[in-house]
Amino acid sequence: MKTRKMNRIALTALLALLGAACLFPFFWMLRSSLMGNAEIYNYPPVFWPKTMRFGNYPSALTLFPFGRYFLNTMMITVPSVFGILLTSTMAAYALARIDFPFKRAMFTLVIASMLMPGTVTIIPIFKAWVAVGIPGGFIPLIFPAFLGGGAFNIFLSRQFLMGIPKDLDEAARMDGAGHVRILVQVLLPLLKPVLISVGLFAFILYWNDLLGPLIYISRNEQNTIAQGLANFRGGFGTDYKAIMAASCMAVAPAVAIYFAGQKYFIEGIVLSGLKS
Amino acid sequence: MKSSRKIVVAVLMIGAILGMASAQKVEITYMQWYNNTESEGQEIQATMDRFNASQGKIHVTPILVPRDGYETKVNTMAAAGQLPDTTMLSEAMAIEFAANDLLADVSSMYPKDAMPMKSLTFTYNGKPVAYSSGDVFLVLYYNKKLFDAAKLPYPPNSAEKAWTWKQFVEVAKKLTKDRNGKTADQAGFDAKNIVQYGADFNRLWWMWPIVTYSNGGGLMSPDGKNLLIDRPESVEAMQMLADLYLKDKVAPSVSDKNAMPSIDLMLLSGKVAMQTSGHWEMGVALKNSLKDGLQYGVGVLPKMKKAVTYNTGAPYGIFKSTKHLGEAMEFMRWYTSEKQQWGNITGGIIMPSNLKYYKDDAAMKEWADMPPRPPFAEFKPIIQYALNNAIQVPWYYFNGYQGLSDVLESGIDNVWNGKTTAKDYITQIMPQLQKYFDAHKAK
Amino acid sequence: MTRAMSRNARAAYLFLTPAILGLVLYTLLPIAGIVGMSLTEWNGLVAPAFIGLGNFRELFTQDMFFFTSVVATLKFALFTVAVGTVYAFFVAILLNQRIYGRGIFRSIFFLPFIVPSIGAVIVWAWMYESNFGVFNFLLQTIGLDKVKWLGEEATATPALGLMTVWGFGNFIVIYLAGLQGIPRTYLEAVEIDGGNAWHKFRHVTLPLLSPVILFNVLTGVVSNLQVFVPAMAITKGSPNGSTLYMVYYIFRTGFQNNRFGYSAAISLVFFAFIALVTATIFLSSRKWMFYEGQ
Repeated sequence: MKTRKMNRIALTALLALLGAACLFPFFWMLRSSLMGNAEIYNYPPVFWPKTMRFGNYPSALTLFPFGRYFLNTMMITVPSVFGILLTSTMAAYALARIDFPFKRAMFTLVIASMLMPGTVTIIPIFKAWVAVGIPGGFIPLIFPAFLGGGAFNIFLSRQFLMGIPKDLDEAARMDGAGHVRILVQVLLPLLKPVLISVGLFAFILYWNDLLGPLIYISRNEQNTIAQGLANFRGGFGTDYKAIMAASCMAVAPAVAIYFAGQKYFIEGIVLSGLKS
Repeated sequence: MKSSRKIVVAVLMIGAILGMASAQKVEITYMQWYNNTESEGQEIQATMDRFNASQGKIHVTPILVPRDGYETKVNTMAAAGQLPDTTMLSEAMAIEFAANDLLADVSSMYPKDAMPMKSLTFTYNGKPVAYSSGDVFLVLYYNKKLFDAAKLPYPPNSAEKAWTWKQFVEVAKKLTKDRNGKTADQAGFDAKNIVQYGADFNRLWWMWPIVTYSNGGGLMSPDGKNLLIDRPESVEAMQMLADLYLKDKVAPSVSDKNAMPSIDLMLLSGKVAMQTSGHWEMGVALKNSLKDGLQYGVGVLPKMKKAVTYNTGAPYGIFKSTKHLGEAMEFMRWYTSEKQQWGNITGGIIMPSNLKYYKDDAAMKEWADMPPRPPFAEFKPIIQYALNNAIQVPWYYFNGYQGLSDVLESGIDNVWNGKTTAKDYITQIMPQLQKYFDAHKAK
Repeated sequence: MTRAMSRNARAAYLFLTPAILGLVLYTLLPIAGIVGMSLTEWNGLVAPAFIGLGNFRELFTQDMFFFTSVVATLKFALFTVAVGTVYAFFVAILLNQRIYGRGIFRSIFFLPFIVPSIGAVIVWAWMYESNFGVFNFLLQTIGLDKVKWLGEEATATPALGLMTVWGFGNFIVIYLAGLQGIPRTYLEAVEIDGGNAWHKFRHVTLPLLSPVILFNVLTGVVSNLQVFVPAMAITKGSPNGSTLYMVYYIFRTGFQNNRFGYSAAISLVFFAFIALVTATIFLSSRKWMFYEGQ
């Protein structure tokens, strides 16, 4: 019994060590965001500011209007996450629960679409948007989320659905339920964990997107958080204390979302089992 | 009776159309990249608002793009036929746009007395295609306190008194300190633990080749017809530059691109005592550290054989695809005028593009005699240096400087890090450079 | 085909409509566009000129960057996937033990995944900075010499790789989920047979987790072959092309050097290359994959 406890302490200590290393960049971000310029650049480095300069945050806000960026980012992210959840679940349902011709081929095609880097298709897609008369704004950024939601998400949801006994569908079908009712009334409540996982992955994807907004957003007042952060990096040197304060602000909402959903998050992946 | 009624109706209709036309402003777009911050974007917006309010027939909408993303954005727009009407171009792309006949002829845009000086003219096949609306050039910045502490004279501020490379290195050695306080010219100096570097000569791709010109060689001839980088003088200059770090131990290693702090902080925190960069740094970076006690000075670049610096400036252009050339010109003329750029000029970012602002001391003092620039007496020789000793960065006349530089830079870190010599490297890369150059040079 | 079957098929394709539209609009048509572009010399500024297979010929015979770029990309993907797999697997196993504060640790290791990549790039670049960065300070503290992390061919890719592996929180979670799905009875069976922790790992954990490993390795390889942001935001391909990763090279060729036709050609070759690597991993997996119920 005693060795068990010792083991537990040793393992925890090992994890704590790794965890500290993992947190170090966060620490460095936070510590730099509270320093004066001269202090940040001290060498040997100073590990914690002598006086904490919380004023860096308000002054960073004049360069990085977080509220506006946040709203813009949300206006893109929220509908996109919804679209991804909706259409990836639909696709996953078909691939996991229905037998139909060319199912394998469809599945392979969907997965293969993951292989093409997005940077490559910027120009043809942009030209298409120009052709339909919407060369910019939020719509071109949100629209693709309603088109299946990406191979990775479809795959994750499909795996999760495969783990749910098919008897449930059969029983519902006996009661006269169609596919939509089976999906919405029977399966959806069980899908909560994987929906949260997919939602979180999707959220982070959109939260961090850089190239999309660069191409499609042309008005300063529509800038997103990731863009605002990238804008700090001018051609000639960088104002680190401001950029660190801005980075801390940019990370915060994502962290909050994570903690809100974390209880279900791992479960969503556990139950999907990721078996083929 | 009938016909007169018709006439009345016709007159009324024409009147209505004319009235509508005058109420409807011509819409044009203006795209600009900006360097750092949101506030810069807001200033540009404020200037646009001023323009839109100042007259009744043109309305300009700005498209603001961060510097890093400009090429991506403008090329995407070009590929889709969505170019803006007017733009501040990226320097390296101006000639390419001109070569593809995308730029409108702007030679008639300025009245004679408002023409930018010759050195600010982008030329393709001998014809002017775009103008910079401000003048910037390379200088040597230094931290005065570090010179005072070492009891060393400040770097010279006029071309006539420019340090030789040897003098520059000697002073830099005295300002390079290890963690025990020993300087690079003393015995027992610990080169592995340097805490303060004497001098950093900026090795940004378009900046460093100035040393090759200074040594009597060059990157290419100013008519854009001959590649000069394999001349012995050019290769020697490259090696001398590399040796600042390798042999003289006075410069930091050519560091992780983009990881270095801005120049004011490099100087303020005593990381380096001297650093070369562009004139704009005063208005963009150096002014930020004045309140923290930074006392900086501006000197001329050290010379190898002759005192020379690069001049440049962001070019402005009107795309041929515009449907409103006249209005676009009117706006560009307004926007690039010294009057509208006055904040950038007095703020130490750019110098005026028109020679009348240099005609005598009074004219110069009007824009130069205030912080963040040094006191006028100190700065006047620097202005002369910019006017008399500057040559154009090759992007003023060479079509594809960025691509040429991609080839030249492809293995250059080996030179800066001492894994190979400048001579071996240039010999090795020359066939590819020559091939690229020949495919792109002026005809 | 029975009636029910065709009704099912109709339903399935209805459910799949958005995904199929996405496939057509965002993958197949753009790829068709790229195939078209790849046969032209096009600077994006004026009309393209058809040159047949000229771009491909140039790519394989004259391009001074292509080979460098392939090597750099492979090195990066190999490094991140190898180190990342070991790291994520190891941490997941630790997290799956009886430890104190498991929930907190789980969050700590996941956290880097949600940092905006541009934010991560900024802080890591500064920590790596060779003259004044904190990593070199730590090295000097333990008596070692400074390393030019991002300034040296040998270290640039591992350094960027380490930064990327740091963000592998999602992989940790996926492994952890896999570990938690292993029935206790299997492990107990090994114990009853007198097996130790190694036996449990070797004969239960590893085989049962092989599908998860395959998933992570596949998605890891695919996404890290497509690495872009670190090269774009920090190194710009330097030193000496050692971080000139493929997608960045494609990007640079098109958007910065205005050779869109040529960059389309590189994209296609690269796409084929990724498909080949993926297929190889997938096929080889039959040798080491363990399927339950087989």
